Amino acid sequence: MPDWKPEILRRLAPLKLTPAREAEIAEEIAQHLEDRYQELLATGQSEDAAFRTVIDELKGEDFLARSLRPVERDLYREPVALGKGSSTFFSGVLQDIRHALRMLRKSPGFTAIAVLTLALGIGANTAIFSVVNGVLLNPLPYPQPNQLVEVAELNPPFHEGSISYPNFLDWVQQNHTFQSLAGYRQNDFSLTGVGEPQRVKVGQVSASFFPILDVKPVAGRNFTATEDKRGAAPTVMLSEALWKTKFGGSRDIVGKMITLDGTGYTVVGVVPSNFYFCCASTNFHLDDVYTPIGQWRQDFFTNVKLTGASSR
Amino acid sequence: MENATSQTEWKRGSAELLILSLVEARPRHGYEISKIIEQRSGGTVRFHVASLYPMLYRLERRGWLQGRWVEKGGQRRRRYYRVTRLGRRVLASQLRGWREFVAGINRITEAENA
Repeated sequence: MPDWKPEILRRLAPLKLTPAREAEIAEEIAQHLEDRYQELLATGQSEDAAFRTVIDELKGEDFLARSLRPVERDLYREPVALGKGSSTFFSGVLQDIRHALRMLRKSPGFTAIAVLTLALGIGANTAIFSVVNGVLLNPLPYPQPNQLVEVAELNPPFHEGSISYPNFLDWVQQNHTFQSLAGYRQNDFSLTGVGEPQRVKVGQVSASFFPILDVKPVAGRNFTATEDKRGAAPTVMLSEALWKTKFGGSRDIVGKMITLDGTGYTVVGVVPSNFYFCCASTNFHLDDVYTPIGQWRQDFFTNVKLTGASSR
Repeated sequence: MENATSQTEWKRGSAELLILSLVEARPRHGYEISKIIEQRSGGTVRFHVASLYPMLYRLERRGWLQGRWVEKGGQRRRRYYRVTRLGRRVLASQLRGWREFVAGINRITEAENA
């Protein structure tokens, strides 16, 4: 009696079925072939002829696998072993996803709890990361950034409004909460008398501004409280970039006069180029010069913004 | 050649109907199904092993058939297929469609040949 199973297993091999499924199909088809073989022998065929006829009815080496492939494709697939590549990796993933979705649909209670847990987990992680990112990964580029706050006036509909300069002075005088308060605003002046006239950006800051942010001038000094008052002699600090491009980076610049909007200002210091005021809409690292805000005579009631209030 | 092609197409279209019909009355194994089809058709319809079993597995997967290994005294175990409740509904529908189709063909051909 011929052994039909090797013939069948060889034809099933490309399907990569599980051993159990492969054995089941082989057993069933082998019985069929044996029945057919016996039937042909009964009609008087020789064993060789009967064997050839039966094998011919398998229709070649690949017909059986091709016919079975669409049927067996999603069932009885040999699981992919870890570390072993598979050409059907993504189809397996899709199958897993479909299976997972079916299971979730069957258990709505479990699904709701799982989704809620995930949502809370993601939310908590996001909140914690925001803190870690701000405090540990990207802290403010100043010493003791955890002690710096931005102060604003709540003046509906503005949630973060600037305040008038007289109010700022009152806040500074009546402050019992912070070590120090600083105000700032931006302006534009015309710089003349040094080569071609140039429009420069001006950071008008209170005398406390640079000390709060611990900015050390690369030349000269910061503004004094005396200079930050109406009627004081006009003084100015240059940005390091302007100092180098317009004045050649000369240290003699301190104490010299420059002309802004037709008024003579005495240079008292140079702000380092690495100074970056990161936390407001004002972008101070582009500012070309700085002047004490208290000297600003044109509009005493102009609004200022507050920052760098370091806590007690 | 043309006749062989037509037969292949007819077989393909009617295979499900034939198999479901044969296991409706009682469970049968694959070889038995193929022999009955061959005998009752007078040898004009034959399913070879390589196409019969994929068809049986397909019907089983659709839930129209259910296969079960049965061991009868002194014999090798065999896989018997029986029709399921869903399979019966499909069979009834296919039979109705088939009879309407044949009746329609008959009406056309009889009218032409009358």
